[in-house]
Formats: sequence, C-alpha cells, structure tokens
Amino acid sequence: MGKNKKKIPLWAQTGHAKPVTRREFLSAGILPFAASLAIPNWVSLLLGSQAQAETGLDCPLPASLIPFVTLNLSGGAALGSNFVPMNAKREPIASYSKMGLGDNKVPLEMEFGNVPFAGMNNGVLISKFLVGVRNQATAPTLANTAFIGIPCDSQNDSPNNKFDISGAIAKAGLIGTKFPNLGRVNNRTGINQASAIIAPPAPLVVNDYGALLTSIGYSSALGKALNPEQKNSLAKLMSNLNTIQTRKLASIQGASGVKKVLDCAGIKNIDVVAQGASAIDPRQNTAFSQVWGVNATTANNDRELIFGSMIYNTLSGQAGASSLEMGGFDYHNNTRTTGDAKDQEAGTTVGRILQSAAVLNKPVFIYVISDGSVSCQDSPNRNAPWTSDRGSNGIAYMLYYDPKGRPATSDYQIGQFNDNQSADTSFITGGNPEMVAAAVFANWCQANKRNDLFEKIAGRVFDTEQLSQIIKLA
Amino acid sequence: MLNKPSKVAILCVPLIGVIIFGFNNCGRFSQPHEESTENASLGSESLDSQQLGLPYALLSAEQTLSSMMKVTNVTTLSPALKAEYKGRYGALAAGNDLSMANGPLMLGSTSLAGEICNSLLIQEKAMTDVTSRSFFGSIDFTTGVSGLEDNGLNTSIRGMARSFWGRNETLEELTLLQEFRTDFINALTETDKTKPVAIRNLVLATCAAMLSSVDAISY
Repeated sequence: MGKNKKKIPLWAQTGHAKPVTRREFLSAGILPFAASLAIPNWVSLLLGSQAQAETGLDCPLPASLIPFVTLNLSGGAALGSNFVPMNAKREPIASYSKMGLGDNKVPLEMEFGNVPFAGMNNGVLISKFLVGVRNQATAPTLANTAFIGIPCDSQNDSPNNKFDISGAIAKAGLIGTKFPNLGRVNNRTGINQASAIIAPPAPLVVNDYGALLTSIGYSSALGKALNPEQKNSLAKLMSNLNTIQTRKLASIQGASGVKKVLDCAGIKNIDVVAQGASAIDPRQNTAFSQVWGVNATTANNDRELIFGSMIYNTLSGQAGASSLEMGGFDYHNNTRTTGDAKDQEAGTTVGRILQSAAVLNKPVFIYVISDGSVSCQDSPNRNAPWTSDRGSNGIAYMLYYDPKGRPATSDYQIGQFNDNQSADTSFITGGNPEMVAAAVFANWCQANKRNDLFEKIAGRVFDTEQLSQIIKLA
Repeated sequence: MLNKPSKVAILCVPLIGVIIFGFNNCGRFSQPHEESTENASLGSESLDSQQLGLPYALLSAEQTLSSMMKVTNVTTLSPALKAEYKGRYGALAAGNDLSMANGPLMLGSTSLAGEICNSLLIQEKAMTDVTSRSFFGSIDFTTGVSGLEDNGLNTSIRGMARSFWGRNETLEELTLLQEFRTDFINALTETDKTKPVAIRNLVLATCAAMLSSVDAISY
C-alpha cells in the first residue's frame, strides 16, 4: 500500500469535520475506545454490569394489602371544626373562638368509639361532616371504623403541600390487577396535593366512567377491526416493540427505573387486554350501586358514578389506591351555610366509601386532607361565619374500617392543638404535611402488620420514640 | 536530545493517566440502584425523567395528537378521532416526564393511533393513483391476506418507520412486525383470510403499533 494513500478516517467518511471537542470525540467513538483500552476488566467486576442486572425484569406484583383511598378537599376545609382537636392532655384548648365553635365548652358528639366531634347546638349537630357520614354509613359500619385526627399547619389554597402518600403505598405493593392508581386531577398524584416520600406512578385520571371502561382495551377503529386474539397479539407486539425501543435508556445513568416503568406497563397490558373489561362496573353489584345512588341510566360523567367506580375497583383490588378530589372548600364567604353544605358533602363521600367497604366485606383505609383551613372573626358564636383562610388550624383525618370489627387504637389524635387554636408545630407532624403523610403510611403499615414496609420505603423518617408517638393503631 | 520512543513514552504515560482518571467522570461508580430504598429519607427517590436529566421526554396528550396527525399527513379531525381523543385524554400524559407512562397510557396511545391510521387508510385508499400514496402505495387492498407480498408490507413499514420514528426500522423491529402479521393472519378464519378487509385491518394495526410505540410518542 503506497504511503501517499492514507486511509480516510471515519469522521471524514461520514461527512463530518475533524473532531475537536469532547462531544465530537465521543460521537466519533475515540474516547470510548481509549477508555476501553485504559480501564482494566476488573473495574467492571467491581462496578457490576447493568445489562446483567436488567436481564430479569422484576415488575411489581399486587400484594395483599388494605385498600387505600385519599379524599382531598381542595381549598382549605374546616376539618378542625368538625372533629374537635384537643391539647396534649386530650383536654379542650382554651377557646375555639377563631374556629367557629365558640368557647372551650364545645358540646361534643362522640363517634367511632370515643372520638369528639362538634355536637348539638340548639338541637342541631354542628359537625356537618359527621351528619354526612351518618347519612350514608350504617351504625354497624361506623361501629367497625376507627378514626384518628392529625393536626397540621399547611399552606392555604396551594397544591404544594406534600400530603399525598400514594407513591409509598404503591411501592409497598398496593397495585391494581387491571388499573394503576386512580385519580381525578391531571397530574402526578391525581389530586391537588404534592407527593410525600416517593413520587407515585402516574395515575389513570378518571374524567368519566367511559374513560375508565375503555382505558383497559382497544376501542374505536382497532376495537372494531380486530378480533380478541388479534388484540392480544397487538398488545404483545407493543410490549416487545417498546422493550426494544427503551433499550437506549439502559445505557443512561439513572434511567433504568424509567425503562422498567415503561417495560412493565407493556407487559401488564398483555394480561389486561386478554382479561377484557369485565367486572369493573360497580353497577353489577346492586347493594354497591345503592350506596352511590347509581344505576344503568346514570350518565358517564356523573360524579357519584365516577367516585363509585374508582372505589369499587380499588376495593376489589383491580386498581391501586384511589385519590378523589372535591373542589369548593375555599368557602370563607362570610357565611357558614356554604361551608356547612360542603362539609356535609365531604362527610357523605366518606360515609359512602365506608359503606362500600361494608357492602363488599372489605377493609378500607381513608385519608382525608385539605390545603390549609378557614377561620372566623373571634366570636363566642358556635356557628360563626367563615371569613378567611387559616392554615394553622389545619387537620387531616385517617379512618380505618375493618369488617371484622373496629380496629383498636391507643388514641384518637396524633399531636395536639395549642391554646392559640393552632396545630402544635413542636410535635413532629404538627408543622409538616409530609410528616403527616409519613405518619399515615406508618399506621397503614401497622394495620397491615407489615411494619417492615415502613422502614424499607420511608427509611428512618421517625426514630423509635417518634414512631411510638405517631402509630396509634394497635 | 531524546530519542523517538522516549518522546512517545513521555507523552503517552500522562495521557493514559488522564484517560483513566478523567474518564471516571462519565463512569457509574456511585450509581444507585433505582429500586433501592435502603436508608431512604423523605423525597430521596425519583423516577422523574426530567429531574433525572434524561435526554428523552414523553409527548403530552396534546403533543401526541398533534404529532400523530403531522407524521401521517392526516389533517382532519374526524368525529370518531375527536371522540377517541376525548375519551383517552385522561389516560394520556399530563406532562413530558417519561415515567408518567403506564398501561392505560400505552393502550390509549395505540387506540388513538388506530383512529388516526384509520383516517390515513381512508385518505390513501381514495387515491386511485397508488404512486401518490405516501405510506400504502405498495399494498394491494383488493385481495385477501394471501395476496399480501412481503415486499409490499416491508416497503410500507419502511415508509412508516422513517416518518414515525425518523429512521429505518431495525431488523429486530421488522422481525416483530412480521411475527405479528403471522399471528394476525393465523387468528382469521379461512373465509376471512380471503376478504380484502383483512389486509386493511392488518395494515391498520401495524400502522397503529408503529405510530404509538415509544419512539413515536417520545422525543
């Protein structure tokens, strides 16, 4: 070969300029080549092989865990004026005059065992939340339900409070056999709250019942053109095609988790398409339909049909956690009427969820949250109108229904209120919604008798002493 | 004066050091296992592809529809397409985070793609001059599936790959699509195999699969 016939380099063959920058060297393959020569093989033994780790795809499988439902009351509900928060000694605080309940001699109505709610005033129950619950859930259902209030200062009218715990719940293994987590708002958590501990897997946003029904199969042109066997083949093709196309992620640092999400979704779809859409309609169960007041003629966009469908599929294990969203709780319009109506609506929904579990003979864990709260002008009136936001007297609720009997609790409250009529922020959950979420998760793990899950997923968020203060379920 | 081997050694020894230690910046010495939650603390784990700085992103619901229509040259939103998009909207991505993908999103994307491919088929089948078809000029829609030639389908797949994925299909992808074709035909009765609608349905499903695969709904 003559010396003057130089071999044309790859960069020239491909029509590029001579590589100069690091990026150009990388794309020309020069640096990887040099590195492969310079880095001895034993380094890969120390680092491990990512490709080897990914050969067996370890998709999450549904575990037998208590169904979990979050109800978000968007706008700042007066949850602390329905359940009556107490101080550290579980005695009334000095006054409830900014919380629309007057002085500290608030009449109490006990429910869920010995949990204090704002009671009778002139022959009328003050807590409209409790009115709503009682209207829907039967006495035997309430007798099998435990309730715990969790005082917490949170931001008013904000989607940034880290109250959502659906990520940790999914991570623990509460995964639907057909659906992912279900939500109502088109974001990561499915509600207007930010996620705590772990971002949840993307929920299916249920805009109407039809969307839920069609979401687990092929509809429209494909639905009509393909027979069931061909639909199964298509789901298999999609899974395999996507597995090939997500391979590019495997070589990117930190992306293997994302690849797994994509690959597992495709694998699950093969089963979901094969199973079809049977048994997801809550109207197949007459008693359940009656709880939500729905029937065959109910419109697909009816809220009760949507909520009922979400709860039905969560309770039956076909969906992961359900996150329900109710708006209109920023109700400080100088009346008590609007707020009372909304509180009762929230209670109605909670009562229906409890009664749904009773009808299906399933346990359920319900987590009721809001963003901030409301207050009134300092007043002795036990029905003073709501005049402004006041996140410092925020509260979250945790309810646990077990068809076998009321779950034993050591307390009805986590943390306490102080005489400023505010959540005591010196307590670990008092000033941080994310800690409230962690506490709820700890109690859910306890209810499942799976405390190992808490440490595995949330780590050492709480020390042993703190865990003993926040776990109230026996 | 140093001789030539000495000069080379002086240059190469530090260069090897630079490569070994400099290259560690690109290595994965401390890459955490994504699923590990040992010693996790609040907010420690993220799958968010944008937070992770991945160079890939998912198309949002609106972007998915717009992209699918653009790459297929479908310009009209038929009532069926509108209805399908509306029905699947909640299942499609709210943002661009790749890990927002889940089962319903993938099924929803394929179903939506099916409706767009249906529009595309109507559009192209109406062209009597087959050479003016962009994607299905090589397909004879008048015969049964036995009349479908490998070359015809492969040419169509090549055209869709270039338009939907911005590249040629790989051999592995082509093999999968051909296996699908075999499975699809095997699922037909002998009578149905002779009907032209079978070819149409096969092309519809192939188009929908390619139009909704990860490379078509991400960027």
